Amino acid sequence: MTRPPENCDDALLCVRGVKKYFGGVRAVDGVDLEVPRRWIVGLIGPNGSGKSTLFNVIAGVYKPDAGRIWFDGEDITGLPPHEIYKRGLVRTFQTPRLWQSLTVYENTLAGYRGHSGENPLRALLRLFWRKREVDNAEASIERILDSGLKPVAGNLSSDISGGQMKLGELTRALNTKPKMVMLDEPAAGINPTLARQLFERIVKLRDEEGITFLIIEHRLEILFDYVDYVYVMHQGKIIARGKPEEVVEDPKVIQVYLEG
Amino acid sequence: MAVGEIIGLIVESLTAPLGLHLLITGLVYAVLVLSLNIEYGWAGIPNFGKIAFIAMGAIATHIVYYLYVFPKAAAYYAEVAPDKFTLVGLEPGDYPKWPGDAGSYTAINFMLQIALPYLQEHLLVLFEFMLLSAALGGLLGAIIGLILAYPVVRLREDYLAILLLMFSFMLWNFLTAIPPLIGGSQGFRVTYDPFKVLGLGNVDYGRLVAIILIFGVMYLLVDRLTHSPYGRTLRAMRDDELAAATMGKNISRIRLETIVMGSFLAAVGGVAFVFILFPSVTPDLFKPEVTFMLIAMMLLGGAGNNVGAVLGVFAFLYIFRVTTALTAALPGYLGVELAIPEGLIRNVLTGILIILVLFYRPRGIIPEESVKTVAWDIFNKRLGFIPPSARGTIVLLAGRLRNLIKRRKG
Repeated sequence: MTRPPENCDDALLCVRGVKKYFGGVRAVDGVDLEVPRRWIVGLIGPNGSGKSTLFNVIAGVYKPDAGRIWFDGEDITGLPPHEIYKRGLVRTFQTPRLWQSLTVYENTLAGYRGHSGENPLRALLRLFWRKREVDNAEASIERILDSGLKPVAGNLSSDISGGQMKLGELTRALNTKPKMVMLDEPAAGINPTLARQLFERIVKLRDEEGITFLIIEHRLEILFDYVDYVYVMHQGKIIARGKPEEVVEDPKVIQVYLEG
Repeated sequence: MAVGEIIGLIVESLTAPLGLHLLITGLVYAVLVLSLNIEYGWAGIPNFGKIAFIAMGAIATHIVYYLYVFPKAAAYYAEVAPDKFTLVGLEPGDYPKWPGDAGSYTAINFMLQIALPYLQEHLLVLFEFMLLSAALGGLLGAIIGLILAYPVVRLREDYLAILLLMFSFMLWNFLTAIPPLIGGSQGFRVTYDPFKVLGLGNVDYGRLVAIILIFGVMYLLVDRLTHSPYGRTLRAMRDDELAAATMGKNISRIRLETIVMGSFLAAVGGVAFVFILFPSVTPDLFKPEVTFMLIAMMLLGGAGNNVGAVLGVFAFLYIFRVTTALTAALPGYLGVELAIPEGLIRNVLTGILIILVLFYRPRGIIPEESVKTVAWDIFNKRLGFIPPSARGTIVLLAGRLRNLIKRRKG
């Protein structure tokens, strides 16, 4: 456990020199990245540039081959996903991963932290967890009403549309009372109006609940209207960083996107 | 002609009353299937070695027999009838020791001539015997489950399934080869007799009362455990491990807990299996294939649904009854002597029937339902919806009705 580097002190998430190789493929090749508190940060780049792998490394799905990651001042490099969750960092997936045999409502219920009813011995006696379950249920219903998932809340999550799955995943992640949420392509497959509503909600969540966001997104025309800062990845490396208006004009970025 | 007779046979065996023996058998298996359902149905852990943990109950019973019952019986008969010992070939007051004497000729004689008569006269000791066996069995099951699962819970479920399956094959051979476990190929004997007390003089009524009590406690435990936030977590893990881990669930720990609990309950069920169903215990009761019968029962009824799993047991027993009747009648219809054992044909027929049921009702007789906690009631009250399964049934029935009306009109 090392302390975060000095120029990274204030950032909520700090990534330094992270590398992840798959055989000969350098999926992530020495990435430095900071996400300051209460910022909405975008992570863009062509397909295969290593964005999702970087997400997986930060979230503990993969262990990095080199480099370190700090979250909220604590070294979280190589911790398993459930430990990273405990520290207040949650994520969503590019292809939504809701629990298919649970209803949308149950999905949002299962995310809460520190529920005593999730201990097998305490689960046997309802009085240990009833109060907590009632509170969680009420809060979950509020979130569902808020997110527009009400019409499908009682459906199995395998029986809803792709966009609703994305919303469901976000709602589930928010119920964990996170410090930071990493969203993997939240607007993919959602119509432009709904996508804008989604991003407006993200801004509202940042303003009202103080949640920090790191967002992978391909729909730059929407993303750039809402983010504070953007990182551009290409072939496992960060090739540009800055405010959206700066990044758009960066010749390297233009080249990468034109090359496809 | 043959077809009509076969249909007649099927109808006859299906409509015959349940029968006391079938009811007792069903409830004993229901206890075992419930423990499997936590692991397989709820948590998605394919425990292909279930029978090995049931055998732990028998092993515990055997150990308690030697360590607790034998000394008591020896002390009693040393005073009352010392000549009993000469028949067995022991000094008065002496008794076979565990593990050294386990499975020996003397030990079996001692069991039949001295221990069993003693138990039949001292029902209280027999109840103590059962309780101690259940306690030791549960402990043994939990510990073995922990030891076996610990190294592999971090790997995919397939590896755990293979490991447990191999363990159950190994243990089946060990049961024959290592007498201290259950007395080797000879096995050991306990008695139904104490159940006379519960059944007011009738052994079978007593057995029924006993298994209803055990089943009741077990069902309540499993139902409480699963219809809770913990049950929801188990399903989440079963559906998508990565998503569950991302949402803070410690997958290795939950898997380990589930296997320990499932094994504990299976071993306690194993003690009931010995005392209530098979008082003559031999290694063949614990063949690895029994696990698959339990899995078939669970899938038939509805994996992940506790009521369904219990119903599945009885459905399976009914199917078994039909196939037994058919097997017995088959050589007559064909007019030939069959050179293969009847049990084999019955297994094939049972297999075909289960495939048919699974083909047309893949989620079992009663499919899985939502986890019923207070959160479910609150949701219904505030957003008022019909749960998916019930709604599905209503839609299905409405559709059938509409078709029926259409056909009438047409």
